[in-house]
Amino acid sequence: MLQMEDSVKKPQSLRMKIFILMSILVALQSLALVSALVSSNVFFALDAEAFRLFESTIDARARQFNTKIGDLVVNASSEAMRFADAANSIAVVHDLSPEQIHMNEDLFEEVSDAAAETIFSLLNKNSITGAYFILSGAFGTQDPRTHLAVYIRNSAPGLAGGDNSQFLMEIGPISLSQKHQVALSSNWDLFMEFTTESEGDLYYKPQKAAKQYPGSELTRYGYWAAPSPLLRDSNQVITYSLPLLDRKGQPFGVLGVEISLSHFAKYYLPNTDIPYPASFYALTGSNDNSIDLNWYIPSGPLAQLYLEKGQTLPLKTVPNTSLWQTTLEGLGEMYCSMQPLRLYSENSPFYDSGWTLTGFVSKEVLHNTSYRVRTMLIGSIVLTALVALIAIFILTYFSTRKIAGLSQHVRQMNPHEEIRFKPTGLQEIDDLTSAVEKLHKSVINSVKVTEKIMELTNMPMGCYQVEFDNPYVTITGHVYDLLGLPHGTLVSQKQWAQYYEQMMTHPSEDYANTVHYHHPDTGRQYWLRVREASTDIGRIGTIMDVTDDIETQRSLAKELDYDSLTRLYTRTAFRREVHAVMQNEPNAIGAMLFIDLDNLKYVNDTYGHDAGDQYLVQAGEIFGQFRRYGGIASRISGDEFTVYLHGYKSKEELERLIHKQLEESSNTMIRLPNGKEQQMRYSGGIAWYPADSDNVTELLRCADFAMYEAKHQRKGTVACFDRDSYRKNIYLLENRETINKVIDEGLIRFAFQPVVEVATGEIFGYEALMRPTHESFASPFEVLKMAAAEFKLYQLERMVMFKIMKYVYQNRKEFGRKKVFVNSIPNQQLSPHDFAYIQREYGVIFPNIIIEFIENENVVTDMVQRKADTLRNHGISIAIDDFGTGYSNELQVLSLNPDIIKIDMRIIRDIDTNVSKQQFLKHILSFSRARGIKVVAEGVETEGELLLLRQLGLDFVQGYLLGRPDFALQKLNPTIVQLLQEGIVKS
Amino acid sequence: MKTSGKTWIVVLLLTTLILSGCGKEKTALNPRKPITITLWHYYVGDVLVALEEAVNTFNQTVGREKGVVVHPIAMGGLAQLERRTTDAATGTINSEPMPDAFSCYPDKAMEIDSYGKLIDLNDYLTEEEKTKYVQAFFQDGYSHDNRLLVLPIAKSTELLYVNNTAWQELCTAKGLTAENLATWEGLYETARQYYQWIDDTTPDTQWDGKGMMGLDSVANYIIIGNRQLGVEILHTSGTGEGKVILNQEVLSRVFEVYYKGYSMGYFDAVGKFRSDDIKSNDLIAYVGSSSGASYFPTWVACGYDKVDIDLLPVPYPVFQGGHEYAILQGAGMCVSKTDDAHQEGAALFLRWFTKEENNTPFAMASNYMPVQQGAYSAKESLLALDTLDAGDKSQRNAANAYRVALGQVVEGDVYAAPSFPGSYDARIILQKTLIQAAQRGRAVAKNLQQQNKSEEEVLQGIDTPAAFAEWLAALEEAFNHLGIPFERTKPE
Repeated sequence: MLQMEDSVKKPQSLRMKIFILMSILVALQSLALVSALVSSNVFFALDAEAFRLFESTIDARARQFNTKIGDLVVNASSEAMRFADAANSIAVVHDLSPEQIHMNEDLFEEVSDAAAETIFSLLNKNSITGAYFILSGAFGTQDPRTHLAVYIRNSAPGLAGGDNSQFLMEIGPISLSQKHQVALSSNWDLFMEFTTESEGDLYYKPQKAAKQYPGSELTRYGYWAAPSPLLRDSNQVITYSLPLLDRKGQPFGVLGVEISLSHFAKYYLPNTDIPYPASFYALTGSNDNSIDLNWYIPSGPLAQLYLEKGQTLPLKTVPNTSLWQTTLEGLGEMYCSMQPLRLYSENSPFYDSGWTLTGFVSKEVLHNTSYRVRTMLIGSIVLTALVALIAIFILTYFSTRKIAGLSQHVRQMNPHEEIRFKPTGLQEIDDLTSAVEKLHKSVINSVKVTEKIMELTNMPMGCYQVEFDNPYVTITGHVYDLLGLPHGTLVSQKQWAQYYEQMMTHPSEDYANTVHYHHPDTGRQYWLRVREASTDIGRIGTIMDVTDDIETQRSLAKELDYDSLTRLYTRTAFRREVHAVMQNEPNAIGAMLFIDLDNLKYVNDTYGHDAGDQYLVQAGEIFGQFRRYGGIASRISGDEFTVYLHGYKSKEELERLIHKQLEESSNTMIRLPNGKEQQMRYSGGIAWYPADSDNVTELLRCADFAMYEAKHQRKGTVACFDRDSYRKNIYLLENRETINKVIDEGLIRFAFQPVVEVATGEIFGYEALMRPTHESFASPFEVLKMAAAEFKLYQLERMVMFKIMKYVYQNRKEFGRKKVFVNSIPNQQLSPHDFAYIQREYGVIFPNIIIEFIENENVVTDMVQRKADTLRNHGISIAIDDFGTGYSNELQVLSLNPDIIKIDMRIIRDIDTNVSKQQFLKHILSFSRARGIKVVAEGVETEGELLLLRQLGLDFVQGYLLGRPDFALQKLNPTIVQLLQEGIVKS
Repeated sequence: MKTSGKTWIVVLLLTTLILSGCGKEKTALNPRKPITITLWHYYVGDVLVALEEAVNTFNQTVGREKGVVVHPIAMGGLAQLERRTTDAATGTINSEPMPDAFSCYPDKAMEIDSYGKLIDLNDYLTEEEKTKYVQAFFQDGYSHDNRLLVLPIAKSTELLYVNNTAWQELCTAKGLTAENLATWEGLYETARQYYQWIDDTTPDTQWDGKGMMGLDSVANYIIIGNRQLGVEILHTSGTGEGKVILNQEVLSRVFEVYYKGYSMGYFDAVGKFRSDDIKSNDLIAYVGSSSGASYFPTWVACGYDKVDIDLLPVPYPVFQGGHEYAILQGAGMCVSKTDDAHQEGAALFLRWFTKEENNTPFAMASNYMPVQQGAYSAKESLLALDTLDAGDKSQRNAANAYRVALGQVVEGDVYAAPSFPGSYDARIILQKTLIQAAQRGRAVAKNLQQQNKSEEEVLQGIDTPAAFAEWLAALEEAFNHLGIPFERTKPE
C-alpha cells in the first residue's frame, strides 16, 4: 500500500516535466516569430507608409494651392485688363489720359464707380478679403505718398450676399458708398497713404515690372506682397497687385486683391486635409536647410502658436525620405515636408522670391499607428504564448489525470477485497497496476492466513488499523463479529469513529482499558479490553473479548461483599454502597441506623455459640427487612448491625418509617436451637444525612455514638444523634478501647495525702489516690466513668486493689505502722478467688489498710454489707467517705459499723466562722464517739479551720493545709505540727 | 479553475476602477494633442482686432496649457452670421458644419436651440462663477426651462451721437440748448428747425433743407418707445411662449414721431449706416449703438475736403411723459453640441473671455461694456478711460461716449427685449414695415414739397392717422403670415 502510493505520486513530477518541456517549445516558437518579424523589418514598414502619406498630403495641398492661386491670378488679371480698358475709355471721353484721372473729380468718380464694379466682381467671385485699385495722385495735395484709391473689404469672403452688406469701404469717395450702400469703415479715408516704403511695394513693384518688361502678358507683372498690416490697422494681409496699363502699355495704377492671414489660412491652407492631430501648414519664403520665420503665413492659430516669429528653425534630413526634421517648443520633435509653390510664372521678375509650403507633423503622432501596430503585434505574441501556456497546463492536467486518479482510486479501495485498477490507457502504467493487483492478491492471502491462525488459537481477539490518509479502516474478522457487520464490509473512518464511540460508551470502573459492550444485534453483553497505539501512519488497536475473565472475577468479588452468616453486606461493601447512593442523590435525606444487640453475650454464654449464630441470623433477617424500603443493611461487626436508608424528602418521614419497622420487629421472638424463645434486645442510634454528616465514616461514627448513648441511658431504646452530647462525651466512645488497656496493663499510679492525728500532730496514715497514667484520661473520675460505661468496674476494682496492695506491700517498711486509706468501688466485691490471692500475697499488710466506702444509692445493698464483713473479717479497717453529704449518712454508719468516718470537705469549709456547721459537726462527733468511731476531717485548708477542729476534738485532719497528694510520702510542715501541738496560731 | 476565474474578474474590476475612478479632475482635453475650437462671430473693424488679440492671448496662455486653440472666423456682419448659423444648424445643402462656438443674440439662440444644437452652459459654470456676471446681462441667456444657452460677452446700449460743431452753430442760430435733444418730440422739433435753418440758406428754393438725424435701429426705437410709455410690445409669459402686443395708443405716438420726421425729411437715412451719414455730412446726429462710438468720425467730408468736428454724446431720448429707458443689447456666445473635448474647450474659452481681467480690455477696445460686475467697480476700467482721454481725438470721442453709455447702464434703466419663438422675426417686421411706411410718407411729402406746398399742407398730405392704420394692418398681415402671435389693444 505505501509503496503504491509513492509510485502514484511520481506522476506529479511527470506532469511538471511535460509542462516545462512544452512551455520551452512555445517560448522557442514565439522567439522564432519575433526574430522573423524583426529581420523582415515588418515592424517599421508602417513608418515608411506614414512618411509617404504625409509627403503626398503636403504635395496634394501644394497642388490645390497652386490651382486656387492660379485661378485667382487669372481672375484678377482678366478683371484688371477689363477695368483698364474701361478706365481708358472713360478718360478718353473726358479728353484725358488715364494718368490724369487725379486731375478731375468727376472723372475720378466715374472711374471709381467702374472700379467699384470691378472690385465687387472680384470680391464676389474670389475667396478674398478685399480688393482695391490705386491711382497716382490725390485731390488737394501734392504729397506723392497720397493716392486716389478705392479699397473695399469683404469681411465674410465667399458669402455672396448680393446686398453688399458684408462690404466695408476703407478708402473711396463717399458717393460710392452711398450709391452702393457700402458701409464706411471706421478707418474710412478719402485717399490711400503709404506710410512706409514696403507698404508701397504693392503699388510700385508691379508697375515697375510693367515698365521694365513691356509687352508681356499681364500676369508676369503680378506681385505678391508678404503679410503685413495695411491701412493703419493691425490686420495682417497678403496682397496681389497687377498693374493697370493704358493703351500704350504704360501703367497708371494698380488693381489688387487682399487676403487676410486668417482667411488665407482658412481657405488656402485648411488644416482639415492633414490626417493627423497637432499638425499644420505654414507658408514661408524659400530656404535651404532651415526655415526662416521672419515672415510666414500660418495655416491657423496652431501654427501661429508654435511657430515663433523671427525664429530660424534648423532642419535635419530624415534618411530614406524627402522629409526634414526639426524641434518645436511645446510639441517636440516634428517632421516637415516642404513643397515650393507656384505663385509666379517662370518669367516673372519675382520668381526668385517664391514661397514654400511646409507641413509640420509631430513625430510622435506620425509614428503613432506604426507604434500601435508594433505594440499590438508584440502584445499578440505575448498573449498567444500565454494562451498556449494555459492550454498546455490544462492539457497536461487532463492527460495525466488518469494517472493521478489512480492513487485516489487506490486509496479508496477495500484492502480486503480483490483490487482492480481502471486501465489508464498507458501501457507502462497498466503493466504496473496489474503487477500490483497480483501482489495485493498474495498479501490478502497472507492476511487471511494470519486471521485463520488467530481463529484457530481460539483467541477472542480482533485488530483494527486507522490510517491518516486512508478513508477506510482496516479491521479483522472478530471485530466484524462484534460490530455485527458482514465480513469484508468497508468501514469508513467516520463510521469507525461512531462504532468506536458506541463501543467505548460504558467503560468499566474496576478494570483498566475495559468496556462493557452490548452487541447491537444479539443484545449480548461483552466485556472488551481495547488497547490502542499510535503509529507513523495512524493508529492500530486490538479488541479482546474478556467477558469470561471479568464475569469470574465479579462473582468472586460478590462473595466477598456479603457476610456469610447473615447474607448482609460486609462493612466494606456497606460503605461502598452507601457512598454510591449518596453520590447518586446528594440532595436527598438519609438516615444511618446503628444497632447493637444487647444480649448476644448472654446468649452466647448461656446457650452456646451455635445459638448465638442462630440469634445473629435471625437478627440479620429482621434488619434485612429495611431493604424493602431501599435500605442497605450490613452486619458491621460481631453483634452490630447498620442500616442506611436514603432518598427521602424529610427527616420526619424517615424517622416514622424507622420506628414503625423497629416496632414491628421488636416483638419478634428469636427461636433458639434448644427450642427456647428469646426476645431480641438491642440499642440503636440514628444519624442523619446530610444534617449530621455527608460522609459515610463520619455518619457511622455519629450513629454509633447515638447508639452508645442510648445503650447507657436506657438499654433497648433507639436514640438520635445529639451533637452537643457528642462533643461532651466523645471521649467515651473514643476511650472505649483505652479503658481496657488501662485496666489490663494497670496504667495507674497512686498519690498519697497525709492524714494527721490532731492529738499528736503526727501522720496517722495516707489516703492513696488513683491517678491514671494514660493520656486519654485526665482524672480518675473519667476512668471510673469509662469503666462503668464499659461495665469494667469489677476489673477496675480488682486492678486497683491488686496494685495498691502490691505497692504498700513492696513499700511496707516505709509505711511502717502508718495506715493507707484505699478508695473502693462500693458495688464491686472481689471474687473469693481474687481476694484469696490478695490475702495470700499481701495479707501481712492488711492491718495497714483502711478501705473507704462510698455508696451512690441510699440503700446499703447486701453486696456492700457482705463486702464490709469480708474485709473486717480479714483485719482490714473500714471507713466511710464523704460523710455528711448525699448518701453517706448515719444509716450507713449504722449498717456498716465503720472504724472511721471521713467528714466531707463541704462541711469543713469555713467551719471556724459557720456556727451551723460547727453544731452539725458536734452532733456527728457525739454520735461517733458514742460508738468508738474515729473521725477524719477532710479538706482542711486554713489555720482557722484547723484550730477549730482541734478545739472540737477531732481525731484526724486531712487537707491541703496539711499536705497535698504526692507520689512520694511526705513529711509534715513543722509549723502545722507546732500549731496542732500548741493550739496557737502564730500570727 | 472556478476560483481563479473569479479572481480574474475581481482583478479586472479593480483595474477598471483604478483606471477610471482615480483621475483627479475629469477632462477631455489633452495639452499634447490640442484641439481647435472654431468661433464664428460678426465683429468687424476694431472689435474684430480686439477679439483676435484676446484670442491670441488665450491661445498662448490657458489654451496652450490645456490644449485648446481657438480659431475665430469673422462672418462679416450679424446678418451673415445668423444666416450661416441657421443654415449650419438646419443642415442646408452646402452649409458648413456648426462652429464650436458662435456669437448669438438670445432670440436667435432660442431658435438654434430648437434644432437641438446648443449645450446647457450650466454644466460648465459653477454657481459662484455665475454670480460674478451683471445679472441683467446674464438673465436673457436663459431658456424658459432654465438652460443657460448664451453667455454674455459684451453689451451695449444706444446713444444719441451729435456732431457738436454743427450743433453749436444751430444752437447759436436758433437759440437751442441740449434740452431740445432730450425728448423724441423735442428732437422732432429740433430737426424741423435744423431743416428750416438749412433751407433758409437758399431763400430761392423751398424745401431744400437737410435731415438732421437718423436712427440705426428702428426696431429698437419701437421697442424702447413702447417701454418708455409703459408697455412691452414683445411680451413673454415665462413659459417660453410670447406674443406681440400692439398697444395702439402708445404705438401711435411712436409712429407719429418717426413717420412725420422721416416723411418731412427732418429725419433721414442716406448711407448704409447713420454714422456714414455723419461722415458724409448728410446728418449731424444719429441714434446708434454705444459700441459704434469709434465709427463717429473726427472729420466729415465736404466733397474731397476734410472738416474737423467734435462729438457730443447725448443720452437716449425719451418720449414726453415716459420713463427714461434705454435699450440693452449685445450678442453673447453659444456653444454647439459637438463632443466632450470641443464643448469643454469652447466653454473654457468663453469662461476665460468673460472673466473681468480679460473681458474689460476687449470691451474697452471695442466700446462695449464688460459683463462682469467687478469691471464696473474696478479701477482698471476707469484708468482705461483716462488713457483714452489722453489719446487722439477719436479716442477722446470714444471715452466720452463710453461715459454716457456707462451712466445709462449703471445709473439709469436699461431694457432688453425678451426673446421667444418669433420675436426675432417680429423685430424685423416692426422695423421693416415702419421704414416702408415712412418711405411711402416721404414719397408723398416730396411730391407735395416739389409743388411748394406749405408745411401744414404737406403734413395733411401724409395723413399720419391713415398711415398708422395702414402700418397696423401691414403688421398684422405680416404676423399672421409668419404665424407670430399678437394682440391688439384699442384705445379706450
